[in-house]
Amino acid sequence: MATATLELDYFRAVSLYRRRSYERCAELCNALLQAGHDGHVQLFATKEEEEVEHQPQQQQQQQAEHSRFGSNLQRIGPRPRAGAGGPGAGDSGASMMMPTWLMEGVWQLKMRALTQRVFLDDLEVDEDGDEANEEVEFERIATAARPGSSIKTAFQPRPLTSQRAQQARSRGFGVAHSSDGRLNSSRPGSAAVARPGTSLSRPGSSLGGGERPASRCGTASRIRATSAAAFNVGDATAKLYQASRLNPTIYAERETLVKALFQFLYYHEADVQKAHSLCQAVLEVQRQKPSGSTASNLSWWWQQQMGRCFLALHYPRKAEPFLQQSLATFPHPDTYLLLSRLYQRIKQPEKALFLISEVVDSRPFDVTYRLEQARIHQAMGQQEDALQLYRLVAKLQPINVESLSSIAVGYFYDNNPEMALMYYRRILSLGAHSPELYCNIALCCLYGGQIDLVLPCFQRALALATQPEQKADIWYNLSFVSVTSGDFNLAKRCLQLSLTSDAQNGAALNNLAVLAAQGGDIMGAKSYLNAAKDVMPEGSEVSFNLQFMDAHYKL
Amino acid sequence: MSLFNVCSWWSAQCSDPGEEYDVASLLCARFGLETQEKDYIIVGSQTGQLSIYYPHRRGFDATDLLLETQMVAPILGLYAGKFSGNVRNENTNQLGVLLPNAIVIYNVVSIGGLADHGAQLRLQLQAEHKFQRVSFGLCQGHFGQVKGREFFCVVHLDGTLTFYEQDGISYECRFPGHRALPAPVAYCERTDSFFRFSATWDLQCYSYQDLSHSLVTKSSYQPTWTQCVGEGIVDMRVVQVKENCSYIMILGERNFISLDDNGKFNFMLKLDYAPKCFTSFVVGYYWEPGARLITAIISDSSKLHLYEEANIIWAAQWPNQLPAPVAIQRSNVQNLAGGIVTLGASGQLEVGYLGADPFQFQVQPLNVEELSFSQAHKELQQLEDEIKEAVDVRDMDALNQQAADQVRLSFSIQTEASDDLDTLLLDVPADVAVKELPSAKGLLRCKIKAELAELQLVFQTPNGVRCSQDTLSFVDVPAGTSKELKLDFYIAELLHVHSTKVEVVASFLSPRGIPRVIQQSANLPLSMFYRVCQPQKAAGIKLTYSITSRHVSPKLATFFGEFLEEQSDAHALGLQLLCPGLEKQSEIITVVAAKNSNRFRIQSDYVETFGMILERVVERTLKLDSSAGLIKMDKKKPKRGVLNRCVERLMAAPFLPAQPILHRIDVHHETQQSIRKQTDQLEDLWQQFKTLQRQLQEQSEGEPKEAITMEIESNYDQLILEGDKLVEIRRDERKQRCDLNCAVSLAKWIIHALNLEERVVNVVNSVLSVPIEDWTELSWEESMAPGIDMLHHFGPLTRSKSTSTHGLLDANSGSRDSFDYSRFRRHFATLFDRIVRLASSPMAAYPEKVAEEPSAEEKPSPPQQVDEIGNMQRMLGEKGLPLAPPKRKTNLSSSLEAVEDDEEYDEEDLREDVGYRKEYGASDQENATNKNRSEWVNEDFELPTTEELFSDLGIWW
Repeated sequence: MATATLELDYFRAVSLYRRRSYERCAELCNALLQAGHDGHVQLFATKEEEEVEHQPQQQQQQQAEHSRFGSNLQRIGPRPRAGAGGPGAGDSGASMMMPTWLMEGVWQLKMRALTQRVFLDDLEVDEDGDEANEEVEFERIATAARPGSSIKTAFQPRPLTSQRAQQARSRGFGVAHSSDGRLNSSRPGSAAVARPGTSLSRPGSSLGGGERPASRCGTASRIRATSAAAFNVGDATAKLYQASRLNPTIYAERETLVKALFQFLYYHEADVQKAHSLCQAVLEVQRQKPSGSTASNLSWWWQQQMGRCFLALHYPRKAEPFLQQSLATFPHPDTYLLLSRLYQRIKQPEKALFLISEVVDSRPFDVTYRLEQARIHQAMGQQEDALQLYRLVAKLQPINVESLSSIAVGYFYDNNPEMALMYYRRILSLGAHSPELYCNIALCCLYGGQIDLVLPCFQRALALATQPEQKADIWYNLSFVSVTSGDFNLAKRCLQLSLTSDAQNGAALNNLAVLAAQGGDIMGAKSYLNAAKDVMPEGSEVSFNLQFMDAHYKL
Repeated sequence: MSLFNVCSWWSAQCSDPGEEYDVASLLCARFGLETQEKDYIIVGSQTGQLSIYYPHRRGFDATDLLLETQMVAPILGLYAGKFSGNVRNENTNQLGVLLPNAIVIYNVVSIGGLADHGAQLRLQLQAEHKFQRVSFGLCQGHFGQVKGREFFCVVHLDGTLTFYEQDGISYECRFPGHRALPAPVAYCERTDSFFRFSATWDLQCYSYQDLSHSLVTKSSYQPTWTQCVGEGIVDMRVVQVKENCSYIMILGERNFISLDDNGKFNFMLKLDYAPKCFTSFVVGYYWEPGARLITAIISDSSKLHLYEEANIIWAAQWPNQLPAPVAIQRSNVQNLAGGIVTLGASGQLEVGYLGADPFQFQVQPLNVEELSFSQAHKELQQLEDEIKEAVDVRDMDALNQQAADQVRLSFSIQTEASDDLDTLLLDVPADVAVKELPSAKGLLRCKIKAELAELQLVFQTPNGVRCSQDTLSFVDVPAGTSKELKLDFYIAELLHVHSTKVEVVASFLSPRGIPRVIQQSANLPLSMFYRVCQPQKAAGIKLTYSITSRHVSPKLATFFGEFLEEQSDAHALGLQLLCPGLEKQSEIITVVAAKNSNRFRIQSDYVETFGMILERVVERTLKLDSSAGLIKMDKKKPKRGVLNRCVERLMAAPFLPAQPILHRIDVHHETQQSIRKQTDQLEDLWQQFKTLQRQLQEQSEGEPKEAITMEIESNYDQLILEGDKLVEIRRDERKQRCDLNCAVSLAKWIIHALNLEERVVNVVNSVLSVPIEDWTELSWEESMAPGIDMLHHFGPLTRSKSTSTHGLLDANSGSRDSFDYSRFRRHFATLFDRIVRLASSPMAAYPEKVAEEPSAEEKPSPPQQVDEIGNMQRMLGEKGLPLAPPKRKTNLSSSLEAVEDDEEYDEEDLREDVGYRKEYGASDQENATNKNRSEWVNEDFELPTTEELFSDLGIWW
């Protein structure tokens, strides 16, 4: 009866998994694994004959199980009490102990649950590679320094320079990622991973990109780096999954497990290198398999994952053939998106556009591809085309937050804050409820003349903000409110508060310098500028301001 | 389209409020009980609760609940179909309840209600099929296109299928090797095939014939086709949309996938939300044109997305419903056709419809408390006060007092040494344990009056002595705790011990993070280190102390209670040092009390013996005296010109055994040098070793390796040898450091009781701090050099009359890089020399008098003493003390020559050993007399110049 209880527990775990209660599922799995641990030795003794006879593979699985659960079990020895229960249970098979398949099932289920818990679509993550990343980081700050970022143009109420507007427009702002608000609301585990804020909440300044930003805020690698570690803590059986010790070739042959394992490595452990070597091993196995149908021999799935890994490892050239082959076998949407990302990475956006337009022709109403198209246009600086596409997306799927926010950003930088406000309020009514959104609404109100709403919105934003970057950002934006109202002292304080939240905020340092210069404190301004320079050496405003100071002030 | 609400039409809470419901817990079906029948809603929980609802109208009514029953086992799934062969009514359906180890088929029987009671249902057991493996789900259908009834197969957790066809006939399909997470199996009637989701994330199609035939042949099952879906699936459904085509709708974990029944992909839609459950249905009839395939997907955030094929046509939100439902069905209930029936994970059953009620996101009201400025100001003030209190160090005494109140330490050491030390337990090294040295017992009581975040107790013992407790740390100590620690102090290394003082340092952090440190000390009994022996008549070093305090009786028993009886009249005490216990020499120190005067003579051949004895004599005197309570040794900053207050109780004869001390320094220095040399040598060898290793690696396969291996081996041996030597030297060094400790503390204790100005004593004592320390980069000598240099050039101990600081400081900084030991040694010697001379000069005792009649005093003392007094006087002079104006000129003139002067004097210093008195006096005479006069014969009471002030400050602090 013990097995029945165990199996029932297994069923419950599966049910929890299906209901997306991943934490509880993992807990239950832990308990089961513990039980399996305790009974493992006996299981081995009583079931062995049957297993060997029926399924030779079982033995091997058992072995693998052993290696996974630590060598101490091996040391206990294979048959401590052979004749104890009597193996004659026949097909009842399920004797007193936990069967191996169950153990393995539980193990796999736990792995899946952990993966799902932290899963974050890496396609939604702005992973433009390191250099691009850096650039993005810088871009964000540069655009952030919107009004009054340089001494010369200080205190112009609106961002007017085309370049800034462009950059700004090119990105949305961060609210919830999906049209669903999922990242904000439900998945508790994902909260840490998908930092909602792309610090960039001001309209436009966000480099994080439109809607995607929620998840795109960080680079994928950064996100992955945090995810696994954060969730491993306190996980009792976390050590069962020692990814670093895993030998890819052993698992490559175990078809039933290997895909789940790959995802676990890639998404949960964030060990792209390992995932990649697993991929390689699997493809090798498939190649060697003397199967008749050569075409389907190499699975598109593995080729896609290979490309994914290469892309994550910043080998776009190597990734291309794999993705192309995968695409030839099967037109999976992810493959298209990966390829498009790849072409953008190697600076061939036209090719990406071409690829996407191909698939758009066949599936004209699929929002996924339209959005990708729009993003590519945006990346190429073709704002008009991008906006057009965003409008189309909004028509196809009116609850698509990314398109809405991109349109709003477009309006905002087109000196049309009232229209932007309309879109932002629409997003708000969709249930997206994030500090960035409130911040953006506040800014729209500010520039649209609805002064009474400005501070309440900022208050809400502050109340909602949890991450220091978000707070820094909100205070930074608040400084513009005070600049607009002429209260430079308040502006200074806001900027200082911004710096206390995030000392690396170069834009705040820069603007503080401008304010200091305005107030006559040239030395202070200079030192702020130097600090800003340290934080963001490529900031054009900063270097411009420094030059300006050198030229016009004798220090 | 916009975002709307799902309007609630009817809702109920199922009997089990726990999270016990899943996709299969909800069933909407008809049982053919009446003619105008609509859908019943059947809910079964995983705790075994089964309920059947029959909504009549808007809003829940008690009569809607037709059946409530408790099953013996959890209900894993509910199914309705024509499971029974003998049917009377074509429309009659049976209810199949899937339990973990059985499938039970019930007939549903209706009992007409009377009056208000309403109708009831009853379950009639029709059949029960038991199985061994725990089930996961069930798949039903007209397998083999059988007419009139439905067959079903149970999907087990391990992936096995058990088919139940005609009554009682069953067979099993096991898919060998393919173990996957259990996933639903779907049956497509059109092609009479089963769709199974395999472990490799492929969708496999098996024809029913294959499955049933292979039972006979036992051959392995070959799928008709396989398609890779590439992700885990949430749920799967088969919908017939056209006469000639069925669609398999799959809700994957990230995509919504549709295939036709031939395995061709229809579409694959990437979802930008996390799907939870779905249902697909055809609006219209599939055999008619215009049938629409509609899919409803519920996202994890309670949003309902309606798709026609792959295009979104509607989105609606459940208001106030989180988490999202786990099961969704479309159903025609009474008075509401096409209602959306959903079941939440904890049993919230709801029938809803898509109204045009727009979804309004309700922003929670912002609870911003009105900021009261006075309140905030008060709080800020409070915080600031707290911070200030924590970091304000102006009143250290009060702080220390406060700290001592918070943690009360009482630390004592018994005055008797004991012999019952457990050397094994305390891990005393064997060579020490053999000697069976006495140990001492101590007791630390610690009462904590305030709550502490952290408390650390550290015991500091002199080198060679160890405490049974090393460091104790406590975290989160509540107020009122008291701790009592029994301590053992014992000798763990055979070294010369310079002091008997043991310090306990308690450092603690208050919960607010304010750190405080308090300190207490106690002395180990001398009997731990000495034993009584025959006094010696004569010895190399003789020191004399005279007890000037009236409260201390100059008897040996007063000081050495460990060795002498209280009333003992012994006038001589010989003590032999136990600790290093060298065989060749017995280190004996003799203390002799004068019979008629209040003097002590302490004599020994060895410098090392003095430290603890002098410490005892001096400290005991001071203690006894202050306990008599006449003169308070208050801690006020010593004023200039105040004489060493110690002298009023105890005075040492002005003699410093400079040569032995310097000898210790020499030895120590040499050892340091040899350590450096040894380290360099090791470094060379190590480099060589690495090079050889590299050569070995770079050597190609073919070449013989014997030669290089030999070389490596010999090199390695040498390396080890030299390393051992270094260890040996380090051990020596440790010994010598302890010896030097003793020597320095000897000097320190003498100076402590010398007849000097108090500040001089303090400064010299702080320069001569023990225990001495050797750093890896800097030896003790090097670290001392600047201090000694300073003393050499400034203050009353200087010999130069130049007060110009700049030049001298520069000169010092120039010589800082290269450490000149001989110079250091010379300065050290002169320092001692000067101290002795200064102390022995009679005038020092009466500075006021000196100041009054300087010329009178000049005669008896030799000129160089005048010089010193002058210097001293200069130092003693308070800020306001008059200084002669001409002095300034000399300052200026001499500043440039300072460096040269310095060198000059150094040259002279070399000759000092021979006969420095004469030359010293001669060379300085002229200068000295002139200048001295101008310096301390100050009639015009002028303020000192800033430069002079600076020089004063620079010298002292």
